Amino acid sequence: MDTVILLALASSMLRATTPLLFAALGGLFSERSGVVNIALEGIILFGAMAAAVTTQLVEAPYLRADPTARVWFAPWLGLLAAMVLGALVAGVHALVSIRYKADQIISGTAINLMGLGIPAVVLAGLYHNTSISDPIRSRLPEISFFGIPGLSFNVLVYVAFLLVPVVWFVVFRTPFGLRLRAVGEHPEAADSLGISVTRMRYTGVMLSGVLAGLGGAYLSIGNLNQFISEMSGGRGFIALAALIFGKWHPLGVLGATLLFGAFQATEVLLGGGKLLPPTVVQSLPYILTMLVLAGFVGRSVAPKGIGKAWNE
Amino acid sequence: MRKLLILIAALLIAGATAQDYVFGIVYDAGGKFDRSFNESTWTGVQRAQQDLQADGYEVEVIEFEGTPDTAAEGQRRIALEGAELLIAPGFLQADAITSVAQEFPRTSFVIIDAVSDGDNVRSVLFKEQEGSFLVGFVAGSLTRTGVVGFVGGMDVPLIRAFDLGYQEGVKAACADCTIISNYVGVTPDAWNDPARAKELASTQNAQNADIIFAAAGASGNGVIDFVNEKQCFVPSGATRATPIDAQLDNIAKPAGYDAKCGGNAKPIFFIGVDSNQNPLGDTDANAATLNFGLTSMLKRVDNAAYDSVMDVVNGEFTGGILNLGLAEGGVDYALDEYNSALIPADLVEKVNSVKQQIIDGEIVVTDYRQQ
Repeated sequence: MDTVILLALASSMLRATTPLLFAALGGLFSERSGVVNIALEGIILFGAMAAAVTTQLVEAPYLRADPTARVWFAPWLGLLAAMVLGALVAGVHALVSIRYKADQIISGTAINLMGLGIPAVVLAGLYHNTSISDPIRSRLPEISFFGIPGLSFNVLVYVAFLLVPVVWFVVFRTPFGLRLRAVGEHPEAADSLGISVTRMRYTGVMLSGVLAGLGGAYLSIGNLNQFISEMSGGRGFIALAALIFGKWHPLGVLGATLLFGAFQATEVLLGGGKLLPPTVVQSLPYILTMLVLAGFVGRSVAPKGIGKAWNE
Repeated sequence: MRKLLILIAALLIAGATAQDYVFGIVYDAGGKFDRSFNESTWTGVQRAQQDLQADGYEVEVIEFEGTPDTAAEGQRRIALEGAELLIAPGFLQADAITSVAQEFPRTSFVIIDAVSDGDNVRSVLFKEQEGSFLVGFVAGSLTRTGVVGFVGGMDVPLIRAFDLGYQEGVKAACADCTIISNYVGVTPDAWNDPARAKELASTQNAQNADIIFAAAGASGNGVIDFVNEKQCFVPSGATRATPIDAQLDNIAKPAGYDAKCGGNAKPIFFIGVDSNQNPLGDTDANAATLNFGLTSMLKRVDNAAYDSVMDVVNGEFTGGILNLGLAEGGVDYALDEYNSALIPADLVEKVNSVKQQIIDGEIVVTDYRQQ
């Protein structure tokens, strides 16, 4: 195999990993605080929509004057919108599951369903169709990879990988991280020490929304130039699998998402079912996660307080 | 109360009879303006409505935008409102049409891309392989690397038919060309995953493909975006001279192209599908500069819808299966102001003669679904 293809595969892997990494690191904050977040899939969609729609609306007046204009700040506002909407949607999940103590799985599922329905309504209002937003011209910038010619990535790809050490530091080396982990492992103990379990959990869940929203923004205005309904394509669920596979640890998550990204990249090459049926490759992340959960490939233990509502 | 009801009923009947014709369309997914199938149906009916109105008829079109689950309900409602003809674009409505058509034997039904039973049902199918053969022929004639790509959406026989027709077309123009074909997935997610389609396109390009045909629904936007963004590449290995070289010399390039694609870099192109997607390859809002959409495989759903309406009006509507190919104007390739500079006149002539040969049966394009 020649170097061109190897290089293409490697960069394909990094691009496939990026949205997974954002969402999985987001899920880490939520689950470390004790709240299951299967709403990642839906939040990715909300983030993707917010980013594309905001960017399109911001650049539209400039494009009317000059159809080839590039409005540098438009995608950054789109990115901000994705983070804000992601936090708000996650906030709904937090409100329902923390304040009203509803089942976290049901609340998350409801958000995933909203992620299919609400964008359709917004698109119908703005673009007179229910599945696709108008393409944008101003997308987030590409940055060359250490000056290697022909190799450059969207700025969000770098952000995703840089977030790994940041998240590690925050979760394991700061008082905030200690408290977050405490309310996830043993909320009673944390409470008896005067930590507000409710506030920590709100923060954890909303942070997960911000990060999953970034993952969505990468899909719509980083990698592509528009929002397409259901474009998350199950990445939220694969991110959850990566979170479990990576044992709720940022470095584990990095390894797991890279592995799943590699599956996706090589599947492209294996495509056409020449070596392995694509269905097998596509289900590998889930199969591996099941094996890990069952304890065959090292044991993965969830935070102890996860999934349980906290009664003050 | 009763009087009121009678009054309302009388008004409704009066309202209904004021129209000469009532037609209905039921959309199952994607909405009316999906820039594809549904919109094509609507365009055809719209055209028929305008033509009929020009002739002095009162025409009403009732539409229902639903989901695959609610489509049957929408069909019943429109049939109840007295529509003469109901058009259902999309194979997801096939079962619903079969049962609703039984309940309303005097209404005519049209289902597109699937077969439903009933004497009053017309099932419209397309010979996608014939249109794909033409765009394949164009790709095979113009590729400089001798490698072209195909990106399919969900791996189903319908898309395999596009794939096979395309492959045969490429081979007809260039016997030793290679075709790389990939599918986005095996579940309906595959229609909405542009990110994955984009990776497929990028890997095909790394394998030297310089023209990529996308038949992948909304995922195809990923392929189009890849081509528009990358615009050119330096082929690895030998290239061959094709008529496009001479054409390219005479086309103005979009701003920034020359800086990006100097030296040995060659432009890359996509081929669109279903509707005319050529304009999507226009990166600088100027049709005269280099366009990255080489051509599109057209599926004339609008013509099928228009003809159905006119058949009902002329009392010539018949049930059964209609298989629309090149001969019937059901499929074609797109040639417009965006790509006419890319395709030399003698190639247009060749493609037209290939088209005629297919119509005359001298070239038989294999239908994957009937192998």
